[in-house]
Amino acid sequence: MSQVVETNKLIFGMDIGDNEFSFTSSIETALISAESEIQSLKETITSVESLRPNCDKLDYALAASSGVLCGIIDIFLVGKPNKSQKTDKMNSPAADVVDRWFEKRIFDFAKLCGWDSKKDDSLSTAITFLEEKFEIPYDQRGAGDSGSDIFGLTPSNHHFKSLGHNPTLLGLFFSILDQFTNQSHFVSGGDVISLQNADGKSKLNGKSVPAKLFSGFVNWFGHLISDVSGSSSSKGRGMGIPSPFWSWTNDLIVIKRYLNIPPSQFDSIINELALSIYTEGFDIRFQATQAIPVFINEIITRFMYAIRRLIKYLATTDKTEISASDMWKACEPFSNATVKRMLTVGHGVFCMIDLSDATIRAFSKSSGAFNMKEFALRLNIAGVGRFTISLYGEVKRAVSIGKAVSEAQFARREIAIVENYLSGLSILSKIYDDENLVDFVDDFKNSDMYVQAFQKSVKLAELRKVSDNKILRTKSDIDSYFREGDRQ
Amino acid sequence: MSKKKSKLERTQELTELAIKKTNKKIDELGFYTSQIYDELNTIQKIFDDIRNVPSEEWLKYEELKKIRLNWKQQAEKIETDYKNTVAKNAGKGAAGVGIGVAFAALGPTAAMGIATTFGIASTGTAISTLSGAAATNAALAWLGGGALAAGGGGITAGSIIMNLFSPIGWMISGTALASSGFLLWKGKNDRNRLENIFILISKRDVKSFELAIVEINERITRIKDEVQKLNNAIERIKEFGLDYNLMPEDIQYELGSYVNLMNSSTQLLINPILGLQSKYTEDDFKTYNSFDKNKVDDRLRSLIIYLANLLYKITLDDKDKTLLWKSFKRNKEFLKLVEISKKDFDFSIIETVTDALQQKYHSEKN
Repeated sequence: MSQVVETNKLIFGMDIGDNEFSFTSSIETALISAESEIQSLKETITSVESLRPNCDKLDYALAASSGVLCGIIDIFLVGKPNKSQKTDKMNSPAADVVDRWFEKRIFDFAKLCGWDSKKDDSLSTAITFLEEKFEIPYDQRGAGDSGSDIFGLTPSNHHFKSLGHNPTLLGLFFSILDQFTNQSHFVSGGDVISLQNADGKSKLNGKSVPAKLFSGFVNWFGHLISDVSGSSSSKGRGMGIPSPFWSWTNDLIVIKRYLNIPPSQFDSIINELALSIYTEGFDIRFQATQAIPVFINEIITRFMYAIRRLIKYLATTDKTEISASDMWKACEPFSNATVKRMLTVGHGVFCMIDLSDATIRAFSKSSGAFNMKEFALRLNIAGVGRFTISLYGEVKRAVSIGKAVSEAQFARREIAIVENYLSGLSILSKIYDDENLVDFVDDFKNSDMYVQAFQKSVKLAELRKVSDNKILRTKSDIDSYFREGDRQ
Repeated sequence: MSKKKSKLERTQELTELAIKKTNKKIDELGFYTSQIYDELNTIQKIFDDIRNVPSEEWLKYEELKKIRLNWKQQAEKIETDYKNTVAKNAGKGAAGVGIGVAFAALGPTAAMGIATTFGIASTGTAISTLSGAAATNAALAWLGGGALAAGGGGITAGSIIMNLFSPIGWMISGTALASSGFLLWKGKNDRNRLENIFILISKRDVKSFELAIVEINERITRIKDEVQKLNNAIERIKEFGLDYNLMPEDIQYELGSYVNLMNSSTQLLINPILGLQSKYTEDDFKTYNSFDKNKVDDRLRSLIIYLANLLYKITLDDKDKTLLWKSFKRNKEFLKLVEISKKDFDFSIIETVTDALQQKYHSEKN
């Protein structure tokens, strides 16, 4: 056979290098890796559960109650932008609080920018300071300014119509463009109007283009802050910055105009509606007011979720086993399907109440006919936006659950295969458990316990499934094997 | 531009890689088995010298020699049969390409590795009746699988496997089937279902090869160690002299132990490798058929054993079963290979297979 060993022929295409696929060589390692494989398959199966919301009736009831409560807050404390004729303050208590809050922030911002409040601490002085500090060329506000008569610009609508005063990306773009080119862009009556040489006084700081761009951005932002509670010449509440959501109706018209697509009638109607509710006081301050009940709803729902889980954790965990990290894990009201489902319910109920209120009032305002303006003034955009995000999350989770379920089904089938492999390995680990049996050869050399050493050889033969009649088990078996000739 | 590989293709690539790796290991095993074979013959010769004149009674111990001789003959037969198959198929198109060209030659160490891998006989079975057909077919099937792995042959080479219904034919045929029109289904859902079944088959096969490699590695370690031990034993026995009766008791025990060692080491040649054994055997079928009230037609025996091996440990729901049945039924090539008409390929065959497998799983548990 020796020449056989020397033969080296190509067989089975084994010349292919396949380093990327290596097998485990020892049974022990293979067993460990098979077990971990099963573990990871089991994790795939259980991961489906973490994607499914686990809300009980009480969770749903609590979330819905939170939605109802916040809906009531929205109806009675937020309402719609409505100025009192006598005091020029908002009739809505929440909006009034928010207006004051914004005024205080203007003082803070002006001080931060170097305003000296000791000389005159009125709001209009602070605003004047900021308007001068962040001077822009597009501040034509109506009578006396160029083009105001022709384009219908008035002090009450110019923040809306002037693109540079819009808190949107396009607003930022036009603000910087206007600052660079000394122009002024407006949207009025479905058209985009640009005034050349708008204001000769405005100048951009900085020597390089990036520096000027930065300066343009700062001017845009600073000027927005100066206008958030009305301009320096405003009396009372003043006209603030339009809400970002409604400003998009301007953006839509601008984009269509520049793409040479005439804005549709719908675009114009929506734009007009946005303008009219802005003139009623629906500005960024009122938008912030609307966010209050939505925010409260968010907080209450998450809090309810956390409190219930905390109580459950404390009730079911032995005092000695309580740990801060486990507790946090048990009641953390973020990133889990259950709290997200509760939020969908909470915001859904809130939106339902808000929409019903807005619809009823829209009808009652015009005695039976639907009053779109009243509806838009009452509609809580922040609530609708938040509910949309929740709904999107629900759809996304439903899709991932569908995918995870099929993955889990496949993992279950794969487990059967790996378990079979594992049982094969267990058989091998028994068959090849002969390490201490084979060493009997050394026992003969090193000790006098030859009978025990012989017994090991018997066990080895048994393990290797040598036929019973061939195994030499006793001294007489050995004798007969070697003395058969003598017996004859 | 290369198309992104599907999950099934990626899994099948892993299966092919596993086949190559196993082939390599089998060849390595063959190298060591030839060494231990030499050592076993030498030690047997020394024992015979001590054992005086042969007698009738004494002959029963000669069975061991016979086992080893059979093993060697079988290895040689595998080699010869292989060469004949290559010669026969050389001019026969696809099958010839699959076997004849992809593999230039089957080396003797590989033949010995194959003989060792598939085992010569289970304990108590007459070796002479098994040596030959079973292992040779296994070897040829193995080569068919190798051909598939190398990209040649396709179902044509696979036909050799299926006609043989040999111990490992079932393992490779999963890949062959998947690439033979089984997955050309119109509905995306149905195609995904079928693909998942074949992915699972491939994954199961990879696991079987992994198991085989783990065992072959263990086997090689044992053989290397025992070649050394047998060699040392030979040296020691030479010092004991030839007269058993003159030897002290401890030496006699030692001699007896070496006989047991010789026997045990011989088993390393003939005990089959677990991972490469047929999952569902003729015996399993016989047991099933003896329990089942509706006796299965014996003409379907081979087909049922084949399908049981193909679907072993693959969990199927009713929809899977129906889909699989339809895909088998409309695959003309497959029906031709298993020698059954479309009309006769009844759904009850699939049900019988799953039923038979359930019984097998049940018996494995107990």
